[in-house]
Amino acid sequence: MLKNIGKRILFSIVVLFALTFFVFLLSNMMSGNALDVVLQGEGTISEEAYQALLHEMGLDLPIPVRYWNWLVNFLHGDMGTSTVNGQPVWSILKERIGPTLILTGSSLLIALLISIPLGIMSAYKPYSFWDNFASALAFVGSSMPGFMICLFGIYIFSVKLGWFPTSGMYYSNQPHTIRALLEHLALPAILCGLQMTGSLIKQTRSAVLEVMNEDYIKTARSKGLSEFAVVIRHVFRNALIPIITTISLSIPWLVGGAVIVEKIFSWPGMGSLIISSINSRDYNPIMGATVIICTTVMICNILLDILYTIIDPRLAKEK
Amino acid sequence: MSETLLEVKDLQVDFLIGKKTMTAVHDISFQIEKGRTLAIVGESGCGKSVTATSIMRLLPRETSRIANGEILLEGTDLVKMSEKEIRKIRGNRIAMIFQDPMTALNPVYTIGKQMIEMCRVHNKISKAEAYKKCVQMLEIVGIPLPEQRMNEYPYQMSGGMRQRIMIAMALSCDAQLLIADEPTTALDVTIQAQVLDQMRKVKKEFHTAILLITHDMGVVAEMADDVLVMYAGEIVEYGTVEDIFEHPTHPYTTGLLKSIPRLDSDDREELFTIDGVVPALSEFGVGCRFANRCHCVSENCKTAGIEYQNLGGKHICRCNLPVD
Repeated sequence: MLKNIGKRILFSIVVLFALTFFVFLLSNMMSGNALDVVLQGEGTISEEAYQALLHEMGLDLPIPVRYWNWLVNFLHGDMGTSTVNGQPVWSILKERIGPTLILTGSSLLIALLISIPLGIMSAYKPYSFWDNFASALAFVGSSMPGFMICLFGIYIFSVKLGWFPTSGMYYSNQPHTIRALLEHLALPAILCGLQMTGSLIKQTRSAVLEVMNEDYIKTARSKGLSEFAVVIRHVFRNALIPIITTISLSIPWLVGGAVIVEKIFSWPGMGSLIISSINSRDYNPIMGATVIICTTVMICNILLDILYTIIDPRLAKEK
Repeated sequence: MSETLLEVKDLQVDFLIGKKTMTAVHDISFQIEKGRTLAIVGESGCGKSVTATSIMRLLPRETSRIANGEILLEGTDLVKMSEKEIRKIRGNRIAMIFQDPMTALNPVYTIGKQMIEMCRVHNKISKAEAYKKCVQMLEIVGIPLPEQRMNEYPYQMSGGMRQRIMIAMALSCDAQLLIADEPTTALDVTIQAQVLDQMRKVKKEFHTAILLITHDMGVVAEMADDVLVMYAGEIVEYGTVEDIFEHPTHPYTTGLLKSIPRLDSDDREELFTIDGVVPALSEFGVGCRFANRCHCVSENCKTAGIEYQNLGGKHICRCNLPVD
């Protein structure tokens, strides 16, 4: 068990470094560089001065050397500075992690709160009203592109109905209260969560349906348990494994999806940081954000792996 | 004769298949006295399990219903009970064990948790009391180291042990009737004998009546006091174990008994079989359902309804043949 977790962690670290290399490679292969962006609107400068600045920023070195430099600094705890405003990357990221965790965490929570009860109900009474409702929701959730759902959501709930603000995390001219946060959070979190419900509802439904036909469910009923106890304690508990697998598969997706949602709602998280950094060819923040997101996803996956063995004791013994 | 515990009268169970209604079992009447064992025998699909499951009202509600009849447990009709009332019967007064012990226990909970859960549904007792009772039950069914077993999961145990645990669990609320749906079919022969022994032992100890469903005539001979032979959803013969084994009357029963391999028979002799197959649910006519396979069939067997003949005592037989 412990050996397994150790192996997983080691493997994750290898993946993390491979990933940083490819992200570094890709972001440096984009046309233009940080200097071009900085110099925009500054008028033209001589070729010599340009080359001198390039050398000063270390951008004249070949990509593998630059990656090596980045890696060495990173391993020493230095993620570099932003070329746009000169701030250390870590202090930029620090401010961004919180909002992203709030958004992705509440999206996941909303997705679970919608999908799991709906999935259970639709399996318990197939072809009932709730089953059809869940199918429709799953269809919309999984077939509409995320940005479209967001734009519709903003149009209906913010522009037409005026229920929620369209962007940001707090009102700029008001104190930062929980209430203000929730008002800003509601729409992006619901829309982001809604995109996850499709696969989760379907997975919950099929897992629950399968377990419902098991002999031990008949045993549970024959013991005189209430239907609620049968469904929650016996059916759902056994259906959890495939449901958790779906959740763990959708966590990277959730983080990726949040990038778009954050941009659309101007949510001050890592997603919008990545997009603006890409636009300004600001390599260090891209790398920093990549490391943070990647680590989070890996930690989640390892935690879910441990959760598996708690849910199903057979898995703990098998290895 | 001792007191009647369960009486089933004219039971009919219908299944809804698409928009059609099919009658799976029909005109079933029998009774079980306290402390006795009734075996229901018959081939696959003859309605034995449906009959047993309908006593617990555990048939799927969407696709089946008890269309007719009464199931009286000490005079109270289970068919008329609400879902809440029947839950107080399940596990408490009637308990059930199933064919495949490998899948009948929930894999993610310990034995102890599953047993204690049942004890505490029906009795207002503390966890510690329930624990004590369960350990005691495990001892009775011959599980070694019961306290250690309480903390183990089903996958850590063999099939025979799991079936004994099922028996222990089923009887932990002092049920008056144990319905055993092919309890030994999935076990190997040596383990079968152990499980049957345990059932006999608990029957003696707790004076529990047993409704045993099986297709194994050997098990019937060993366990039953009364026997009910079913064919295609109907009772064909009913009587005490002596009636059935010594004086089998219905051609189906005689056929069944003849088709048991015997150790002392001449081994070059081919084993007796009943020709033909059971008709499908939709092919049942008015006449005898066994007519197409019966060796002594006559014209009125196929055209008229068949009445039960009373052969003295409990022994009845659904056949037109004159009894010698």
